[in-house]
Amino acid sequence: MSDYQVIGKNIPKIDAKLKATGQAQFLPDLKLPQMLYGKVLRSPIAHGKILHVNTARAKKLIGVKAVITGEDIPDIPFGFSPATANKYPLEKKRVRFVGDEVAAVAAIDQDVAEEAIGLINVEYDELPAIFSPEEAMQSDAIQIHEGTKQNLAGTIHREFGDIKEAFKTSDYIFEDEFETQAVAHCCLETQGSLASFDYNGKLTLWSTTQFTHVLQDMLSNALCMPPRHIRVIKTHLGGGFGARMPMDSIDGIAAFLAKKTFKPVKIMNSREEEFGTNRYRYPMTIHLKTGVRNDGTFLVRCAKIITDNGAYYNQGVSVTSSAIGKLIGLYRVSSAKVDGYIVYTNKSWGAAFRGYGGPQAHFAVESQIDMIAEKIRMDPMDIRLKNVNQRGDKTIHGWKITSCGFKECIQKATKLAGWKKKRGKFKNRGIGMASVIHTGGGSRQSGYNFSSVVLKLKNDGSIDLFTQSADLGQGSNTILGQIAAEVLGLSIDDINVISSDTDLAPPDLGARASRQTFTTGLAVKFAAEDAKKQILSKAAKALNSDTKVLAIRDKKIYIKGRPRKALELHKIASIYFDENPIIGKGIYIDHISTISDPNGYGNFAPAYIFGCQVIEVEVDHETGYVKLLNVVAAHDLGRTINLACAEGQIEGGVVQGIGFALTEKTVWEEGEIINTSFLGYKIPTALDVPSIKTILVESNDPNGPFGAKGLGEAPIVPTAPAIANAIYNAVGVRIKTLPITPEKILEELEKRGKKDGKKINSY
Amino acid sequence: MKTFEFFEPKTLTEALKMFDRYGEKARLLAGGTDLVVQMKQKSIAPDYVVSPRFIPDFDLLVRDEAKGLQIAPLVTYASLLGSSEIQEKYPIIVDACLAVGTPQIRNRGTIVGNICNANPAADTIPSLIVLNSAIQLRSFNGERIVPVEQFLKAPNKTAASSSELVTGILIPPPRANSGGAYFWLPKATRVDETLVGCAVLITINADSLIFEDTKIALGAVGPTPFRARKTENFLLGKSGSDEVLAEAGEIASNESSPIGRFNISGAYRKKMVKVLLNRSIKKALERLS
Amino acid sequence: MKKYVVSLTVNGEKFEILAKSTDTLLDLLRSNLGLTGTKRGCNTGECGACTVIMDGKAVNSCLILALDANGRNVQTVEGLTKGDKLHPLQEAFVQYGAIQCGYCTPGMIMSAKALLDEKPDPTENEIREAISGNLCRCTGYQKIVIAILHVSREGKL
Repeated sequence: MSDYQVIGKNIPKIDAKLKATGQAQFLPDLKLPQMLYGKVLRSPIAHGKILHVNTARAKKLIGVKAVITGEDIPDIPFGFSPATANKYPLEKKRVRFVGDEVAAVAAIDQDVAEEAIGLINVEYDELPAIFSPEEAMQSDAIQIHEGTKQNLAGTIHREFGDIKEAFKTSDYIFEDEFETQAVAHCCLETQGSLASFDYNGKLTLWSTTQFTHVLQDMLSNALCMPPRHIRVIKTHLGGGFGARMPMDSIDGIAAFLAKKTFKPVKIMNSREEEFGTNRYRYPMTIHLKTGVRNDGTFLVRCAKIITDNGAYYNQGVSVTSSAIGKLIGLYRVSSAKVDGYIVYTNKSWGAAFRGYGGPQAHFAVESQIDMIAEKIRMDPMDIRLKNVNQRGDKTIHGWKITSCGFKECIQKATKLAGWKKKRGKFKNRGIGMASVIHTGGGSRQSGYNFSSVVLKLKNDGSIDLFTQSADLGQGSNTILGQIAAEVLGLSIDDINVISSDTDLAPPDLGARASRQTFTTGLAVKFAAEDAKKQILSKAAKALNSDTKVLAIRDKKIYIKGRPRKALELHKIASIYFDENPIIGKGIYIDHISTISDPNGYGNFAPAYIFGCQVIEVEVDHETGYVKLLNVVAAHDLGRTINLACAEGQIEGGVVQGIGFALTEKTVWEEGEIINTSFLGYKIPTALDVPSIKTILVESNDPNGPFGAKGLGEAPIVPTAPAIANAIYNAVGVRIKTLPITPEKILEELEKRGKKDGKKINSY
Repeated sequence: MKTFEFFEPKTLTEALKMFDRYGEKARLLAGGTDLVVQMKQKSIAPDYVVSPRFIPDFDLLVRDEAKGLQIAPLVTYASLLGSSEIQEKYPIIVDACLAVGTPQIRNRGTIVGNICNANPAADTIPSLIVLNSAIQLRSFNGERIVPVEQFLKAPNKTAASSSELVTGILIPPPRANSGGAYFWLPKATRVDETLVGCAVLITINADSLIFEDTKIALGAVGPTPFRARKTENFLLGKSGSDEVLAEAGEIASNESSPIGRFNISGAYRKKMVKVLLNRSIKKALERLS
Repeated sequence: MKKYVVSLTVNGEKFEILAKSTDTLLDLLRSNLGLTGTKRGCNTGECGACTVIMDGKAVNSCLILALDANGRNVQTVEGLTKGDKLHPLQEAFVQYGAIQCGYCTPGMIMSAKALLDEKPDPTENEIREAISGNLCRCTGYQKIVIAILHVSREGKL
């Protein structure tokens, strides 16, 4: 039974009323005086040299204020790391995917901008285009980026333990290939940017970014401007899920147009552009070979991963590396070898997407585990429990498990779902499970592993909390506010959170790798404790006491054991405000910034989170359609800070996982995405998903703020393999490629029916 | 969208004059759930848009014991679904309307609009076919009535000339000993394009229980929704046993010619014709009046 | 470009707006009237973010031509509050954690309101059907359904 005043409570989010009333301003709602509308001219071909761009007619159109091409911007590509960046906001020499940015206009309204785009003529010298990684890796394939042999954006090789020996001593070896597809983020708000230059030379950019701080750095590089002349602001954001990490071409394009016109320029993707040219989860083919003992012990896990990177360098290598880490870290395994190949193709470039390689890796591992369990006649729950990660473990690749609710997640989820009762009991109905391991405090992959927070106490005893962290709707502002409130004995109404503005808040990476509760949460806790020290010091003077015997609760400072002798917090603030304002500073520094070992050995994150989902399905054996009956999702988050936010992350993640499993797929035809609307690309509606039961497991991390770890990404990870396993339990059909469509199920059912000599579909 | 001139005629004659004058360059705005999308996507770019909102009786749903049902152009799916008479006498229309889009679309979209748009996967058309519906067409110079099957010419193309307006759908009264049902499969999620649609209207002999009359229409598995006549003929004089229905499903499947789209093959869709035929006939038999 | 006068009532107030033929009701609400609560998610009537109640029915405002909105009665999310008091649906969405990014929220609330106006005591399935035209990528719909159920059962929060 927790003793907390604010932590763990079901507190409504601090921005919820603004959103419920329509008052919250998102980027499309912003309007500045004299604002212009930008539109991008995109390549209609998948691969080609740009020979000539003729903008004369566009420039003459009435209402057009600027037209720019690749020739008008510095020769500086943008990317997470300057060393690997190869994408320009506007391409000058080559286009590499259908939708690649070639030119842009700014005009007095959207209609004029669109008309102007139609008046720009581009001459291309079309080149052969490659759409599959296998084709791209051939030695004679055209190089999408000159000098890049076999179109490899990167390769990763990891080996731990003695795999030869492990295979020799395995009683069973399983080898299977799994494929996951490209899926779109489908944020309800499309990507956008509003840029404004003032005559002091300062750029203010409102962006749908998840990373204001990093975007400021990247814009500084791309525009050749010092960061002090760039202010990046994130407004309320209509979803993120990794799509907005951190810079999009249109951020640069809007900035260049604004610089040219000295008027604000807003560019928003249309939904068609968003589907047709924007980011997606990296598709992967995973060849998985696993050796086990006949008692179910996992001895060795080997894999070859081919990642379809798309046209430009972004997070493909990083996501693959992360997938590999999870593939090796999930459950105790004695040895592993994984080779990853990240390959350029002439398709729009991929990006981070909730789970960051986890969904792909887990689909393979968790599907195969059920196949293993069946062969060695073990219950899928038991084989998982046998190999479950536990607190105190150090994995073969150096991950230190400091807190772990994995076992509890599996036990609680299967119990609530009625695992034993339901397994294999009903015709065409099945129950399946899968688990997840994920980072719960950021990852040590690309630097920026710190968080800094400042807070100030105001006259009335409330605080302003300044953080660069990004609230994408997951509720980080509220959660950080709760942490500060708990330390300072305040209520959430006393906390004013100012976030995601590079002019106002100290640096922080932003929303990534489920880091903000842990990393920024710690910085908030430190800042609040710093402020608390100052408060108590002043209170001690006022109360004629010693800080050691003072406590803060319910906005009062009192002597422990003598609650009557209390001083109201706001009196501390107001008495001493002019003399010595109370300002709290908190900096959390992760002492490991990146894993430098060339074999990738090292503790990848300061904390790990676990989870288990158990899903019940019914399969229509005549059509192959899958109906979801029940979902139980148990997730370890260390400590619940906000109940509704935690449950919401799980419920939302599960439904994204359902789409990934059953209905979503970006479809290309000759390099062009053909499903560019919500009609052609289906995400689950309220009618497609069942009620979801959530279980929060609190493993109390020794390092996280109040024991809390992250949560946001893990819930999307086990859903697809749990559904695949449930389908197998229902109708004996194993699908190894996503999405699992009715047609795939029916095909397998028919094959099996023919093999058994029985006609499955008889009337 | 391309700019256009907007008219709101107060009488049908006024509207017909406009279409007589502007022909191809004009479009009638009913619910707008197809037209506005197409105008935004620039697949249609009319110079004139005519709204019949103020024409008297353009939103009437009339049912007569003897004459049957008369559906005017502005009758929405929502109003059809909300009519207890439709629910009781024409449940196949309820099936079809529920298959269309979302609540928002059903609140604005019209069944006349659905048939004029003539999408091969349109949900209401197979039901209208098996109900033996007729389309009432008016032009400034006259009027005619066209059976719904002959009204559909090609994907997104009807028999209406550019100067004609559909002013009503006429549906005969239900026959005794008949039952109808429309079954459909969505592409992926519950609210989605229709992958395969199957409407049946069965009349049985009250004594022998054999099929006396069968109407079967398939949607989304051919260039236009169509009558599966071979299947109908096969079923005549037979009973609704499992073996009969299985064979009927085979025949219906062979009558259809679906194409593969969005990673779903034509072969799968053909198989689903069999399944849906079976299910819709069973449901229709349950609903026998 | 020719402009037309469109007269309509929005949230109980009468307006006369000069509109282009190519404007939609969504454009009128957001650009002409500054009622930016109603969102544009797809512009083709597939996501429901632009849902408003027009003449008592939930509709996609992105598919209503501005000129077709002439003489109509429209209610948007801004019209639900009374002074500083939130509508019970808004209050429930806040209290039950039914809002994450908030982009689908106005449209979702309007679909819920249209349902409860017509059917004050819906089943869970009827609620899911009523919001099936409102896509949400964040919440999984769970708490949205719970919030609407509570309002229907309690009559208030």
